Amino acid sequence: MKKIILLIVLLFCTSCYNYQEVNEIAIVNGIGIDYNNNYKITFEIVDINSEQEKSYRIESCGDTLDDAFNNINKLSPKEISLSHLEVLIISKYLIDNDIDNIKNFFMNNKNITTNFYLVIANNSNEILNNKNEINSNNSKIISDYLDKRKNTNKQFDYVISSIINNKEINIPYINLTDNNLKIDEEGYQYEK
Amino acid sequence: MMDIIKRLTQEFNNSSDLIIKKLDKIHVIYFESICDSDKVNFYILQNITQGDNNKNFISGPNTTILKKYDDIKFYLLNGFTIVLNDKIYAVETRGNLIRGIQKPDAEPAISGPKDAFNENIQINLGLIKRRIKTEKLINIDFFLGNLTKTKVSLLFIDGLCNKDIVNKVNKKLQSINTDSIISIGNIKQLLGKENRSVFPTIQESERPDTTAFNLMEGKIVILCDNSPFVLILPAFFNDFINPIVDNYGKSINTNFLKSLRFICLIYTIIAPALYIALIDYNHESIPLSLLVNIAKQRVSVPFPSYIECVIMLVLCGILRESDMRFPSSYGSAISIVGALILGEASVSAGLISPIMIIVAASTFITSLVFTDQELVNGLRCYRFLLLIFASFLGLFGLYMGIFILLIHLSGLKVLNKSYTFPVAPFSKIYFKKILFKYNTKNMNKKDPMLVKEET
Repeated sequence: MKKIILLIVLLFCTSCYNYQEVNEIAIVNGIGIDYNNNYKITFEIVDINSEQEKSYRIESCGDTLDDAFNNINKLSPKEISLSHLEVLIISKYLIDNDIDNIKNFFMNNKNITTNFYLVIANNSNEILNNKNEINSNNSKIISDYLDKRKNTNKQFDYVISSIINNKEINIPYINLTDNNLKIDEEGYQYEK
Repeated sequence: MMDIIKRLTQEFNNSSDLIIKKLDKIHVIYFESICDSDKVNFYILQNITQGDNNKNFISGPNTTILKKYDDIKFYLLNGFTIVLNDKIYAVETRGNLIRGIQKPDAEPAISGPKDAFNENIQINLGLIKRRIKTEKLINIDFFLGNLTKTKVSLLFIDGLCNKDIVNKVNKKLQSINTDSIISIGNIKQLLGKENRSVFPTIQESERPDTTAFNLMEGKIVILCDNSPFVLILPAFFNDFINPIVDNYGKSINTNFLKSLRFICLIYTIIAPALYIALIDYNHESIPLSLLVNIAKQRVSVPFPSYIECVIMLVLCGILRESDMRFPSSYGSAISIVGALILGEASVSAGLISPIMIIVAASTFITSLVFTDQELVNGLRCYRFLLLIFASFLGLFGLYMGIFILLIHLSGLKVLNKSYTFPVAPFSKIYFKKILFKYNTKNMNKKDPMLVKEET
């Protein structure tokens, strides 16, 4: 009898810890970060209500990265899930001046796996908001493009470890011409 | 002599089928309902009326001379005809109140013998003895049930089986004190009284070849009159999963089948729990494309997924139960209703997501691989337990449930033998016979655990 009571207490007092229905989470597959006096971040979220692979975007600003992410959580009707992040787009300014901050934020977040692609762009918000004809989920296009070429050395953890070890590394660069994403695999050369 | 007749008519309350015939000085008593009138006529009446004198009516194949009054009642109720002359004779005139030997229903097999046990214990014993022709095959008879006096037979091969187990089962059978033994299920319950587990520890079989194989392995068989099943004990977990019929196929194909069956076993226990754990707690374990797919299917569903899962599993259970209980002529109606309501309508109404139906149906199908009903019910119990654990604690709860199952299984004892026998106390010989089939070279070896006498 004691065992049963113990079992019931153990099970039922957890109050469904971490319970989240799969259709009630916002699956983020792309994040863009820009800096213009304060951080501006854009989330590209998979739209599960449409039949096609569509997406919608949420944008928010903040003085620190933490602030900006917290603000986004307030804006979104659904719980944000970052576990399926595929692409992180950051601007040129951030990779040159503020990479430590971004590294700390993404490496220390327990909900994010670090095998997403790191991509450089002039303006990441513009790229994620691009209205594409065939497939409006821009992050998916970028990650599919890089997946196809087996670019494991373009992934976030690899790039960051190279940067920490003061190695030169080429990071993909994206620019936008006439609503088309142009991805250059070796486009941006990082030097200390 | 008149005393006996008076007493009989009194005690049987002038039962309408009790026939007492008086021919000269000879009285013939029998029950019309359980005796074959042709036999009575042929063995007794013809001899008395036509024969010169009193000795010839003992011509039946099974005739005894009785001494006690209690014996008269017993033989009378067992289909004998009592002839009262200067002595009391009992002549077997039992009627054939049985069906013939038919095909096995519960354990069908494509290859292998097609005969099954029926309700007559003599025929069942004959089917086994036809396969094992040795004087070492010993049977001990009991008459159990204070009112039913059902004939129960304990069968084993001397020198092949563990004497300790035989003695233990013998003692248990003798200590049974109950009014009625209607079928072998009663004995199964009374023997396995101490076992509170959901898993079966005594195997039921309706195939004589399975029974013979198990006897040759050093196991004990219990037969019961009026029951088309026999009990085989001790039975281990693997015996329920792998039928003996496997031995008739090519070993490489059989091993593929056996591994398939093992996958089914694992799948049917954990599939719903794993699904719930993944989509409710551990989304990060699912690839993005699959996660989006599941999320899209679940958009219109109003229930939480664990409620959805319980509904589907309960409906599947009901469907199975109704299919078993219903006469087979209505079976197609049930399958149509089940397929329509469970499959089509609930999805198009947006009550259940299609992927949930796939999970529930595949769980249901994989549980049908096992023929033993008790095992299927036990697995269902643990399926629900794991589901509850997973719906509270996700993957962590699922692992907790699996560990509870494993601890429970390894703690279970069948007549002082471990339930997970050929695996957990590892036995190469029995493992090769049941779990994986190698070449037939070593089929003669017996496992020491089943054969050796414990010291």
